[in-house]
Amino acid sequence: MEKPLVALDKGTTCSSWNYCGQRLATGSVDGTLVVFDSRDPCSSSLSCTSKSKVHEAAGIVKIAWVPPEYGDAVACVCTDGTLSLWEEVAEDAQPLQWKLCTSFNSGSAQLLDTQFGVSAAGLKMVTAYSDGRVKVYELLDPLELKNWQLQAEFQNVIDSVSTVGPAMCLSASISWNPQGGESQESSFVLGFSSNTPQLNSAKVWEFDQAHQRWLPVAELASPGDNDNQVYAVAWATNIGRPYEVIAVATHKGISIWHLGLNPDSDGRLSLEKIGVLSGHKGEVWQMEWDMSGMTLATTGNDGSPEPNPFSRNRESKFYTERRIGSQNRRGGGGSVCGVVVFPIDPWAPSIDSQSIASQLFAASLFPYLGFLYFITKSKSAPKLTLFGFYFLLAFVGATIPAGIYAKVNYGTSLANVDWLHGGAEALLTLTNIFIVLGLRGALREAGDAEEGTSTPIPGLKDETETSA
Amino acid sequence: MPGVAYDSGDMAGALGSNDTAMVPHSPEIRQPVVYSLHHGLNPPIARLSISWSRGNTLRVSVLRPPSGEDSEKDEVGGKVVEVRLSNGDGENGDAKWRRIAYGSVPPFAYYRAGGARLRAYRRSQWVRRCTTLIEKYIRWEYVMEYSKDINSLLGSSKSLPIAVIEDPKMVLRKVEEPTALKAAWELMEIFYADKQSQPWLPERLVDWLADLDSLLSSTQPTVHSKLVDFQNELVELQVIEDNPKYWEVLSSALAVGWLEIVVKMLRLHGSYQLHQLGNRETENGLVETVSVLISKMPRMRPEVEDGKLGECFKAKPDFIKAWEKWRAQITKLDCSAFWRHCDHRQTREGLKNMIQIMLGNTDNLCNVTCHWIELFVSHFLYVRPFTVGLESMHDLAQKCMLLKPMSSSHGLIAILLGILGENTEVVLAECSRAFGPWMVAHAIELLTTGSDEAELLLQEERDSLGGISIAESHRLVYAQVLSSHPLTWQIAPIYLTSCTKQGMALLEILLYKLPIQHNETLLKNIEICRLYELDTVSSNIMKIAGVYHWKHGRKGAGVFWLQQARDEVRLSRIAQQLFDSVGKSISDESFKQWEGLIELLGSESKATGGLEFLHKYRDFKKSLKQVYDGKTADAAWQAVESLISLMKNPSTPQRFWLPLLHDSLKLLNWPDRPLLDVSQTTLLLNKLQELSMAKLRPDFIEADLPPQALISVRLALAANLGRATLEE
Repeated sequence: MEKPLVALDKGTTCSSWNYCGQRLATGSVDGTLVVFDSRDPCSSSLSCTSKSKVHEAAGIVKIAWVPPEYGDAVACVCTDGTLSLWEEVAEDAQPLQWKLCTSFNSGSAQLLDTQFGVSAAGLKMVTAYSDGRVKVYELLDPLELKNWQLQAEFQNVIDSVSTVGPAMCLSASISWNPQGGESQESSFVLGFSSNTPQLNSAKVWEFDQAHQRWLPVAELASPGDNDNQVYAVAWATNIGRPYEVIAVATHKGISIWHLGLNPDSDGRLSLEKIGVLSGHKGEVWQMEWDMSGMTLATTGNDGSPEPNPFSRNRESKFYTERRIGSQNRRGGGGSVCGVVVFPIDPWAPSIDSQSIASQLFAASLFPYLGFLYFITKSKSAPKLTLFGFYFLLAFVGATIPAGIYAKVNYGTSLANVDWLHGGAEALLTLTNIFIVLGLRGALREAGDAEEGTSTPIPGLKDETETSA
Repeated sequence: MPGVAYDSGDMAGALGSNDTAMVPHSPEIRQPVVYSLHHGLNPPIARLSISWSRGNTLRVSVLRPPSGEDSEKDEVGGKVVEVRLSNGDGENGDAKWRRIAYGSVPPFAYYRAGGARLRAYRRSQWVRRCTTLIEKYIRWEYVMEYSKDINSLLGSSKSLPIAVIEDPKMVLRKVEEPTALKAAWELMEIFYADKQSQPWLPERLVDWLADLDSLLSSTQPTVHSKLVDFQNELVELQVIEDNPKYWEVLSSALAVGWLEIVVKMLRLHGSYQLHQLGNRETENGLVETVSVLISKMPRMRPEVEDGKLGECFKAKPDFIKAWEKWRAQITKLDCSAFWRHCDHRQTREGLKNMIQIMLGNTDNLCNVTCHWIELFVSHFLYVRPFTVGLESMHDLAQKCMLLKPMSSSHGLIAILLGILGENTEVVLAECSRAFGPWMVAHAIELLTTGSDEAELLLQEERDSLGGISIAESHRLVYAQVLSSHPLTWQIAPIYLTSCTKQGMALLEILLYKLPIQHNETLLKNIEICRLYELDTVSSNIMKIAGVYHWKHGRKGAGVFWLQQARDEVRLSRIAQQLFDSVGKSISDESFKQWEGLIELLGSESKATGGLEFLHKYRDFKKSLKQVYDGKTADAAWQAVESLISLMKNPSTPQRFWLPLLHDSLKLLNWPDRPLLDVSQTTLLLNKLQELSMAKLRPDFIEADLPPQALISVRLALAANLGRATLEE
């Protein structure tokens, strides 16, 4: 089940795996970056290949790997708020070693999170700061990680006009759309945990190529909850679903969102919250989707080691759900940590629309029968029209066997089998023709009868004659 | 994986900080299973960090708080643990599992290909309904072949070689230990794949149980376990027929239809011994009659294997006739007067009991069987020999279960119940629970052939599953399991490509996540991309490889892979870099080290102006070198031509003009005759003039040359012009 891979040094505070899971970078409280490598692709044994001092005075709190198209490099976020990029290169005759490419100083604000994304324009880096600012940098030269250009700077607010005053943010979480490749524009989701409500909620930002700016296209929060502090966000890989799946963790649980692919008229993407998982009692530290985007793994601080009472929908019984808990029982003071894995299927809609439709269809028959009863009783309807109304039943009757036939023979609903559907609908057309013909006949009949008895305005003719 | 509890292990045991809590998985309460993580670290744990690897492997970094009060000096700061979230198959080892995974690929691929052929055939001939039957038949053939292949892969049930002199007291033949996986597969085969033998379904169940009854012994006593116990006692028994256990085992084995064992055991009866034959004649006669009757039992099946007893009937009317005749014989024997002459009480009672079993007395059957399945099977043999169809089977199973409640559920039993209840979803869920994704992914093929409803259920594309069918989703899950192991990821593409909707995208992600540092993996990866026409992925992979090699000092390999990837952006950047570095040291011999790279870059990226210059420059340098080496005038001519074309070319940067001219001073001052004609010289002079003008501009870059270079060049040019004019 589980296999220990490597022991980490004392004081290790963060770790990060590269794209293929062959290299592990860890950062420690004394500012050392340690890189472990597995030499053989068939074995998972790791050995330490490099140790470099990233910062003399501050510890590393976060490490992020640069996408492999840009070399073997990591970004280290230090406690003093600096961000430094380190790259493994062999220059000229020198042996392979980790070298500092560049470092960013954020001034007074603390750097909270940084993530890399690949887009058509090249490598982009999003950084989020403790004063609520978000900066997007762009790499100028695809072979050199030294030269970055600040592409945009904004705040995580949906309304770009009003600016929020100085904020105090505790943490931030960024997740790029994993689909973004060099062939398409990419987008990312970002959420803060701060004292400023407007900044908090997770928002999806997309780069608007036409106007060269970043736009918020969706806010992943229910109307009442959009000031909740966001602990973590995770964008799932999409292997062919007609929507994107994003997980957002707040103190109310982990909510799973479906995000439409096509924007509506005002540039927003359609949103649907499909479920809330209550995985952890306390703060959620990290969330990650697996490579198919079907399973979400989370870590967080659990108040008590209770099993997760996540209720499941009908469809997901094909998956098993597991939870790995790393727990201790010694003393009350120790925190309890847990990794929760939710193999929820992120698709399932909450209500089966298909079944509701057929039920509604069946139920609609009764009012119609009532209508037929009363129209027959009133004896006011023309014969042919009445027949037409009754003929609708023939249409209804025909659709039932046709529907069954379509389901059995073609495995789809009637509406998708043209010749059957057309045939059935032809009956409906007949119905309409009957009704219209009946009414037309009745109108003519009534007109003829009236013409025989009286002219519409009897006095009018005489009056005009006299005036002339 | 029910019932698998972990030992706390040595590292955890010593520290005592890891509990081994394990919540058993039950299908009713949909609660997650809690596995404990054996990291072996002292509390407190400050943080966990997770990362998905390929497939469903999760890497967890367990980090301790960075030294608050460092009491223990040698304590590590954390640990990285790899957790595989699904293998589901506790029975088979890792290597064996891989063998199965690899072995099941050819049958699967072959079957899928057959299915595709069939579908194409159906589309082309869909009007002609009469082909449906033929088509169904072909399909069954395919699926049966597939099922047989997989079945043989899971292990053979052949008996071990039999000793030449057979031990008469050896009632149970030794066979290879059957596996539950194989048993489950056989069950699926019996019910879903093997349509030809549907009429003798009950007999197939009897055989199935005979082969695999030992598996059920793990959870509760069975006839098999009874037999094994008795076998151990048998050696010490002197008068076998006095032992009540002998008769008990006999009737049990008879009830489940193990006729050859029963007959063999009956022949061990004391009355067969020569010295007793005289005074126990009646008794012996009765025993022999019963054993003959048993061996003549009519059975509704095409044939019996060697060594098995019974008379076979293929057609039902014949079978019914024979069965009634056989029954009549038994009834006759039951009422026979000989019983009164039989003095041995145990023999009499035992044989009578066996006759009751053969007559289908349900109470007796219930008494002698242990597991409900055994009771179930015995019903087919003696009570309802003419059973067909699943419906009655399900009712019967329910009844049997009431009579013989199970203490604990075995995965196989749950699958059987699902099959009998004709509930495809339950069958799938139980398969997945007991045997993991491999079983589900492969058994789905059998299920879809089994019935049209199942096919509809499994192949229907569901919006709730993101537009894929249940079958596809299970294949995806299995492919993910495959891709999590470095030795099995190669076969994942076969399953992924059979998933029409989402398989390819997952395959792309899988290929992207493979390490490119190792050449074999890289080549295999590219080969797979080529096979499935994933051009963007392969160029992306080659790009990653190119950047990797370039950055790690293997510039040639880097350029090669970037060229393969047709990454113009990076290649032109590399060309730029080369250009710059050459520019820095144009007169230097270090140019040599770049020469190979320029050669490499050459043919492909013509678009880059800088590189064109470098090519010409290389030619120029080459011929110039020959000139300096004292080669003939030919070389000099060539050098001059290169020089002129370089100077004419607009892509040659201005800052190189002077160094170029300075380098070619020897050509300008060629002793024999002027190498440049008037127009050429004029061109060079013009360029020189332009250069002197450009010197005044602020952005001019001074070449790294001796200060009198310009003057000497000008002088040489002037001299050359003069000589050339004279010559003309």
